Amino acid sequence: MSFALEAVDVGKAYGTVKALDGLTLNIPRGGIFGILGPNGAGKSTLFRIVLGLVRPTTGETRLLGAPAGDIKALRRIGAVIETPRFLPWLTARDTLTMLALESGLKTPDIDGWLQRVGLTEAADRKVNGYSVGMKQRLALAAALLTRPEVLILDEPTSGMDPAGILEMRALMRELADRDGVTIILASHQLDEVQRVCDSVAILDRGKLVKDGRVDQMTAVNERLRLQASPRDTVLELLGAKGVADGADAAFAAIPRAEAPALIAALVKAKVDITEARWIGGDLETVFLDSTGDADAR
Amino acid sequence: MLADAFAAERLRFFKARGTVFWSLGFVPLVSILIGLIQGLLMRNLLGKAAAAGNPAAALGRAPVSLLNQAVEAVSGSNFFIVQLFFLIAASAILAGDYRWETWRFLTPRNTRANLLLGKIATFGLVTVIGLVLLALGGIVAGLLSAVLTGGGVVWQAAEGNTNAQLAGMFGIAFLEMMALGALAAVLAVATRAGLAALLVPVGVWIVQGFAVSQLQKGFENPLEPPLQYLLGFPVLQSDLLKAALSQPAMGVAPEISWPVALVGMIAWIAALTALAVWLFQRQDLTRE
Repeated sequence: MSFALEAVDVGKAYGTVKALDGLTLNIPRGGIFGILGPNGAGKSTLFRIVLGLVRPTTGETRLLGAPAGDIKALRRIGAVIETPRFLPWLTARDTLTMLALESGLKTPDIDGWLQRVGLTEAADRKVNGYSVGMKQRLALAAALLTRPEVLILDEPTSGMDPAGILEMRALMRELADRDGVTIILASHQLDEVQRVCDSVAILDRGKLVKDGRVDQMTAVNERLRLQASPRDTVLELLGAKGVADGADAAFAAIPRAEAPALIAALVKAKVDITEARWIGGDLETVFLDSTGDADAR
Repeated sequence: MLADAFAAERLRFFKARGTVFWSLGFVPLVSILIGLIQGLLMRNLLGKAAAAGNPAAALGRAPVSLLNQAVEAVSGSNFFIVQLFFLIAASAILAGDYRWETWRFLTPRNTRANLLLGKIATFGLVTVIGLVLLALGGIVAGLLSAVLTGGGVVWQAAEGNTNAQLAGMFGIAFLEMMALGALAAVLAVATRAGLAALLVPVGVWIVQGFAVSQLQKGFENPLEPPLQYLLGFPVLQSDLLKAALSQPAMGVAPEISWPVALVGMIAWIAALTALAVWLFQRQDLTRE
């Protein structure tokens, strides 16, 4: 299997603070891979190391099979990390032209990328007057300019309005599905990650605590909440898989595939079901359980 | 790849109109303004002298040599105030990415060595343009003076500078400015601050001026042995080169020749540039 990014026992210390502590993580090529973690988990540090901005204290990272910082590999990726900053006297078009020159691009499709991120009308305005969301869009266009195989995005929707967030999600999905770009996305917005990512890794205190496919991770702690009467009949049918929730409801810890049979059995037992819904099958639960912040719920 | 970095740096520098004006346009404009004021004053004085029947009035209307004007203007670039304006460009080019926190966008696109060398090359181009504008400013000031005083203009005066001397002076001024630019690159990378790069001429002026004057105390010939080692200072290297240019036969000391000074200046530029690149390649860019 070829990997977009490999990190082997990577450590990075700033004085006595360990930003990364023996992180080992392999991100396969293809699809959208999310990196989750509380503040200080090491997400941004990992990106900085991969991009060659800082050197790891220990361990090794590889990008598309090449050592971190290798310029040939870096030219095959695009990245938007931290708050985008631009030279304030340049327009969006100037900025992309300058970055295209720096990358050695002979025929960059600047107008095409400006259109794709929704900045055509503002293309000749100085970046100084841009909103945070517009700067995010410009940063994305800059990252896409070289038609990268891997796109690294750190909080790509921060500062965007709701419509912009939806457009960004659609664009990410399109890039991954249509253009075959591997997207590595770090975000605090668990809902966003669950919606757009195929796989996810959860970091905590510089270490990997959990990784896998989003659908599989969220399925593990998913439960069916049944509001039904009589409740005891429900619990009797569920046996060890059932837990009471108040006087008239119960949780059923069953896979989705078993739900139709359970409902049928309850109907046959003349149980009156007023509500049945799946709960807990979200990344937030997985995240809080993994990072030891379950008490915060 | 270095050509890519050079092209990108050129684009961003010449789009910064304020920086371009202050680093390239201001000093030539001031020199033209001074030429205009001098011409007006001279016309006034010559008018009074002619009215009084003073023969000096005719002498004052001698033709202005535009070549001399250009040589003097280029030669004046070693004045530290003029250097300060050139270093506005160096500061913007070399330390701008620390100020605007834009390194993270550039470093994945080219090697660090190319990124920094592209900046130094851009400062070299800016220096060439600045020196040309200084020369043009001197020529325009000379023309204005000639028009106002009624004296004619010639390109080259009989006893004046030659075209070769203008070219030589241009080369020396370029090397002097590039030595400052290379030092500014080291300071910009080491301190991540534009102000450090900007104040290079002041620092160099104070340190070299003080050190040289202290070391020369008590010696009759300012460069007699063992003082020839002072030629390690770029300011004396350029002085020697200029002396050799104006009077090729003149040697400062028998064992010292202008090629030594030339090699010394180039060595300074190369060593400082290499140091800046070495530092930048090892720099942690988490904090910009």
